[in-house]
Amino acid sequence: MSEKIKILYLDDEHNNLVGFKASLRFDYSIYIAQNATEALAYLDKHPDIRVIFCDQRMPDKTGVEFFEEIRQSHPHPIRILLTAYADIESVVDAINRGHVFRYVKKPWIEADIISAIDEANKFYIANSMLSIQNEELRKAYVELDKFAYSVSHDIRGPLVGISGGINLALQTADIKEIKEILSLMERSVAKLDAFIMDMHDYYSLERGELKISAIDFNEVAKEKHDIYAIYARASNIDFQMEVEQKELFWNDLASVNLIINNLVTNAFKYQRKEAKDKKVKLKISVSRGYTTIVVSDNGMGIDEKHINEIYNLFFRAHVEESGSGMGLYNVRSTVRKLDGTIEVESVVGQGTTFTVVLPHK
Amino acid sequence: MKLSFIVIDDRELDCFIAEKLIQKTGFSTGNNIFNDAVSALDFIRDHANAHHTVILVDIMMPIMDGFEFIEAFERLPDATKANYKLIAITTSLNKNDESVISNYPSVVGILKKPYSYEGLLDMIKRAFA
Repeated sequence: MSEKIKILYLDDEHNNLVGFKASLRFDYSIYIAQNATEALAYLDKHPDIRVIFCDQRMPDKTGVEFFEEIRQSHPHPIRILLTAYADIESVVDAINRGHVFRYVKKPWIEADIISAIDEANKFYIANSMLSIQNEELRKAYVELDKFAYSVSHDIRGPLVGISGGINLALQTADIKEIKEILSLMERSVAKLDAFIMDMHDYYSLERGELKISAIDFNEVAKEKHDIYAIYARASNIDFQMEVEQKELFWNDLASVNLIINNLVTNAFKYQRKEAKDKKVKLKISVSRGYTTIVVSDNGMGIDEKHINEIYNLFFRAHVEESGSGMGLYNVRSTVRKLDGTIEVESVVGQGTTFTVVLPHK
Repeated sequence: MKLSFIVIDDRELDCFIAEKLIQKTGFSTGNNIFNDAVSALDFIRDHANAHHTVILVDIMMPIMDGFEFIEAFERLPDATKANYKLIAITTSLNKNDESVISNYPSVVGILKKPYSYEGLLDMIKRAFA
């Protein structure tokens, strides 16, 4: 273990404290306290203290009373009682009120203390692993619930629309109308496909490994230009790109692409339909080990009251039916995975700017 | 029977289908299509006296969903509400959603997507029986 286990020892007798510290300080980080107040100060300052030894007989309060007190405020450290007089009543008390993990008899020998620490530490690790895994499980369940709900709407929604369209087309003799239905159905299929692609991103993000390589953003920009130029021309949007890169940047290209593609697609998607000077700008600059990606548009903007929700899974801030509610969620998960930051500035009717900063990997 | 219709659905294809099926009933004197519930609600406030209007509202929509729309609708003056009949449209398989929806006094029925012409016709006839 790289870091020493932190241990707190509370005893009113100074000699005991000194002796304890002297014999154990090489193997552990020992904090000693002569009264409860001092002990609490250590616990507050070092929340990662794993084991607390406490003398039972102290003038201001007993060890059991001290443990009973901190059980609520500091539940994680493992509690061990040191006592010379183990009558049955105090044992019952220690277990019922103080929830102690072990008893060590005074005067103690080093081997007893070390074995107690060893056991306590194992228990501590098992407990914290359990609570981390519980938290992860809880999160997974919440997401699964959302997923199940969303799948029934976001996948079934376009499907029942398409099936409604088929019924309608079957009952129509007018070829022109059938073609109109077909083209609406085609758009529904495209949206469904986009949703499934986003879902694929979501899963590869959750389970995927990073593949680190040197990224040439001029290459990335060229590829983006090829993808978006036709779309930009068709929808009359001025798409500008600027790359400033003088040093190599090491990172996972797929993740970086996911971030850029989602932000740029959103900037294209959420334009004001009637606007004459539609603009989308992608600016990438690499400097001192950091890459800054700025995607700005002069489109619809995001209502202030929704700005904190935009990264939530399945949240959609616009009526535009093409939103899957996963794009920005995926962006933020990716940014977090790469230890980066993401910020957004937006004014309704004026536009939105996303700024992502990523460190070297 | 002469009726006007309001369709609220964020999906273009579904609005199109609804409109065609409504036309086929022969009841319609005019349809108003909305892709979001907020604009639909504004429209209803401005047309408080629109007699015999049927509202088809999709339950799952972004920004203001069908539940929120129905709740806002329930808060409108009684005189306004009396002119409208609400039909909730859903893709949901969730029984709980269904029971919540059918507990709103203004809702005359629930249609599940994809709904048929006959289903729609039945629902309208029942609403005005």
